[in-house]
Amino acid sequence: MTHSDTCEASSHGEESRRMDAPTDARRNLVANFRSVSVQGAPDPGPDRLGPPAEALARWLDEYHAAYVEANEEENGGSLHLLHARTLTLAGDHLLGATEDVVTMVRAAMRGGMSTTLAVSVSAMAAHPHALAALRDAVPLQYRIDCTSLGPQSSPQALAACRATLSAHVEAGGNVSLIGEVATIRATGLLADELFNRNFLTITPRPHPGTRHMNRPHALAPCRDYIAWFIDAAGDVYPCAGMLGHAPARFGSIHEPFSRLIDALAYSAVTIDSLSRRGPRIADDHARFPADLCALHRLSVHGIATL
Amino acid sequence: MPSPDRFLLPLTYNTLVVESTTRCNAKCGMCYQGAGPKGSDYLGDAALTVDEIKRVLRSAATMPSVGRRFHMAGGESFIKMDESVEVFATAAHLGYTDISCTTNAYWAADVFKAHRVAQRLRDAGVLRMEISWDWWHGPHISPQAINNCLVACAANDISSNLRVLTTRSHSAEEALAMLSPAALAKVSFATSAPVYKVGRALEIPDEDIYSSSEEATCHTALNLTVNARGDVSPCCAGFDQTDHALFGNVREHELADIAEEINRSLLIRMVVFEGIASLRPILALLGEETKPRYTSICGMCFEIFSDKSKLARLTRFFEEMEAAALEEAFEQLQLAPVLEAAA
Repeated sequence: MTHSDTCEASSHGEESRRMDAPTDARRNLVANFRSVSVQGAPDPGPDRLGPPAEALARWLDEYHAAYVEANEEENGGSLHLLHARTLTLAGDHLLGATEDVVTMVRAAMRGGMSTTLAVSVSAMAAHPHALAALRDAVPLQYRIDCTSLGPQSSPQALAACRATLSAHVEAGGNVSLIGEVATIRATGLLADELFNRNFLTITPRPHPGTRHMNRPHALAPCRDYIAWFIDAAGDVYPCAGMLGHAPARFGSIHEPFSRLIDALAYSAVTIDSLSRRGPRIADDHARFPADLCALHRLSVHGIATL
Repeated sequence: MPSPDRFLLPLTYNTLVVESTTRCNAKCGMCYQGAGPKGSDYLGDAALTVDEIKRVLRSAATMPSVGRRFHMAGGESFIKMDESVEVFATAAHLGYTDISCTTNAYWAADVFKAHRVAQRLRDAGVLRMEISWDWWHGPHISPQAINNCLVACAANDISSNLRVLTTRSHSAEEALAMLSPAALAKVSFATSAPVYKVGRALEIPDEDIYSSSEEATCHTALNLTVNARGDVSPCCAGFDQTDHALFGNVREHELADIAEEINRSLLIRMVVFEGIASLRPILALLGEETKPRYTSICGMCFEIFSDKSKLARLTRFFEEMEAAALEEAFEQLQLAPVLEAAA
């Protein structure tokens, strides 16, 4: 721990309470940061596809060690908090860097995490050999983005999507799709025996109209969005909504994990509050997550104002 | 190869599941609970009272082996809407962070009522609603009720999961084609899975069922389940519908004590960590026949634990194993002479 003093803390209207930095950091880490999501650059140039695999693997090892230690201290080694933890690797560039993916997946496995690869169906179609290599090397779940298809997609495009997914399922892959139900239906795969015999999940990409948040009664709206989010530069953020927002940056994977302890201690109350009640935005009509996260970002000028 | 380390793990549960009633307004041909208007084909007509469910909620909230998730199912639990709302509000008050339910959405046939009910449920703390819909629900539930339910959930910030079951003759597409595209655009998740041969689905011919591997294990998919009779099971995928009463009833014992009983059961640990197929050679040894092929692990579990003769023999076998293991442990600790002297 780099910060061990105690002080009175008051944040977001919480009652004044004793703050014990090491304890708060451990509690915050165990309760809220169970998973890691690594995002590729939205418009990747040749040098900025994603954080370097070796650096991320080292950071993951340090994170696991800290997590297990904190779980022992805070919860007596609760198995609940150790299972169902995931590393999500997102970005089509990953299919051009299979060795990096294998390095990161193995680091996740050392810590008992499963790995999900989030890629687009068009990237899968373009890299069949990469998929085969990954299948042979490491266990992976896939989240397949089909949002490039829409009502205007040609019959050929829909057929190509179905063919790619069929090859994936025949090779033993899971079927977790992101896309509009109507579009997925248009491919015809919901009538296909190959897909009906498997578990299939369709998650429409959230758009502003899909979640009109009932704010006064909101329970845990941000909970599923709080995790380590790492951008292409290796910068670490505490939730999906803050990814890339510099004032909310907790640290970097290029630094030792222990450097995050101060940020974890300092944000323990606010992250708990976010997890339970969401951001305190006055606009009751803000929709979640689209509007609410945007408004929240505007109000965050540093970790203290999360 | 069985892992001895894994076998020593305590059982942990993702969710507390309460099946509040065996009654359902529908009587679907694939229902794993065999539920209907007069109760269950397997468990009869049974229901838990609100006070009993509250006691279960309080008990589970203190158990380290159960996640802070609460899911209420039936039958169709919303045939008692006021009681269901009271239970959800209690769960929220007790600090359950993920509160969900399963419904067939019959209550949403009227669009205005659908919105009123969804708002009540959301105010009581329901975050997610699993809506069952497929070819078998068709004769009992109007597609319009499902449409209204999906729209009402979206309007009231309840995450909806449209759950569709399939067989070779009834696809996911067939089920979705009955619903309005505008309502389908409101779903938070749509999931499709094959029907397992559990409960009333036993009547569906084998050749119509998609089969899956017998070799899988289920230790990461456990839910501590209290069925409508108050009997407790480690899962809600068929074992909970068997007339076993193996571990205890919440009307007679504390849930935590029953969970500890399950945790100690060698029989359950074998099933959970090594897979239900690991009972095959034991049943053969005991002279009990098993089918050459089951269509899924849940179907196999349901059929074995529904068979009183197999269950009695298995229970006795594992009790004898436990006794022998204890005896061996005492011998290894060189306590046998002391015990003999004491006897």
